[in-house]
Amino acid sequence: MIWYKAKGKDCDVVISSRIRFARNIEGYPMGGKLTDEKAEEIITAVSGAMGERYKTISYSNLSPLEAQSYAEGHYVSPDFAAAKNKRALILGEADNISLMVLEEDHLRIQCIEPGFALEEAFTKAVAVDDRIDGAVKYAYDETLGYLTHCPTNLGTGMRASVMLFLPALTMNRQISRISAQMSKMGITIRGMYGEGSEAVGCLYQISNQITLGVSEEDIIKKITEIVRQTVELERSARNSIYSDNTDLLTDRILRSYGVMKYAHMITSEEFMKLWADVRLGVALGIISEEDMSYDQLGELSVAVMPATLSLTSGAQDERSRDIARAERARA
Amino acid sequence: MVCKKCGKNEASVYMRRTINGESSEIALCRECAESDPEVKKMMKGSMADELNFFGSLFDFPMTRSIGSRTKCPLCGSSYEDIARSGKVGCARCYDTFKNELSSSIARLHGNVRHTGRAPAGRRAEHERADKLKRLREEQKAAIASEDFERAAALRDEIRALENE
Ligand SMILES: [Zn+2]
Ligand SMILES: [Zn+2]
Repeated sequence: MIWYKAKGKDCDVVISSRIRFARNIEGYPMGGKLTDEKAEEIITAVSGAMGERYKTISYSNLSPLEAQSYAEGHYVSPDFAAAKNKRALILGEADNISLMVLEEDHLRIQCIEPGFALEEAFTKAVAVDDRIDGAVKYAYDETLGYLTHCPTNLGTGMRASVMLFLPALTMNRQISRISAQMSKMGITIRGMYGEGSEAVGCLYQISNQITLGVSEEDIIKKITEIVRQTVELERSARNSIYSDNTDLLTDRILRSYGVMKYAHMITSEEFMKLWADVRLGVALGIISEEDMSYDQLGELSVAVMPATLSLTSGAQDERSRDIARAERARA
Repeated sequence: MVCKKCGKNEASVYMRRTINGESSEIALCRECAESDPEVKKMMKGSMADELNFFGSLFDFPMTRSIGSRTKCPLCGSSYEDIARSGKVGCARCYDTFKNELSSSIARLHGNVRHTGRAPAGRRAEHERADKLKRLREEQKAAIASEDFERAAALRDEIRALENE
């Protein structure tokens, strides 16, 4: 099941769990020092190792909209989508696996699962890692572990991240306090998409900062513990906001639901605000899951993103995209 | 190269500063650098915009010898290239510039060695290194507690493992 279309464990707060490994191949230069010819060799080797179940998408041949749409589905990083170098995405959509070949590192193996499921994502990412390990020689050092383009990823080369939906902690302005506590423990929390202090859609990503000297299991254990605590904080914040402001909150949520269901045009920014209100409404039982399910909300969150929406609706300009977005939300 | 300031000692600090878009490089010996008011300000971060040391992620070039013109045999990067971009040119760079990079890596991650997964071909080697490290620690402890019989047994075990 495609990760963003499915509801996972603790879905009232946890959107998705992701494991990413950074890997490089011995004997090949990295970054700008890699020639197109060598890049092609790496793409061919990795694509061959993954076999036919996985689709190899040469990124140099994609239109900007297609390139961007994979970033909107979180299969590639925004940097990868916008880059110019020879690179490829190897996609196993059914397994929620994506491989960025020639992002910053030669290889980024990623598995993203719905809900709170770091262990599952880890198991699947490891299977892919082992498979490629059999076909190429990874750059590795006894002391430094997996050798990466940037020293911040040395060691396990692993980033474990969990995407959280934290509307109540955002309203309470608790995020910066939580963030300060986490950073002392080598964990970062950052808002998704948003540049400023307010995260778009109240979405935040928690991930490990340290990759060297700690095992994969320890990283996962630590992130799991922190996520668990944050989930509890968010739930109790929701309960107290709801019991203190029942009518106001109910009114706000139902108004947002009304706009989502009846508007003719919705901008991308407005949509994420409505989406966050409606999602909170579903979690609090103000909107029934029959009227709006987590699966639908997840699917919508990607479907209405600009590039994805342009590709599916054919909308060329902002105005027609806003109309198509509203149409998509009403459906 | 001799220090630009005192003209006596060998320069060991190499820094670049950019003022109004013009960059110049200066070479100082350790003593002069430590007493240099600009370096002091930089250490406090007050002039961070004007005085640009090699990539902030990387080691303050206090320890970098200006005489070092080493290039990585695989990718051709110099340490300066790495410090400037914050990224290595290839995996071999980590070996070529081991000394230069070690303190930056320690600052990022702590003074630690890798633990966790290893490529299939390296797992046995990895386990062996871990075991050797453990045995040596045990040996030290045995000697410290004057358990020489145990220390001798450990020594034999270490030797056998080393010769494998
Ligand atoms: Zn001097
Ligand atoms: Zn190199």
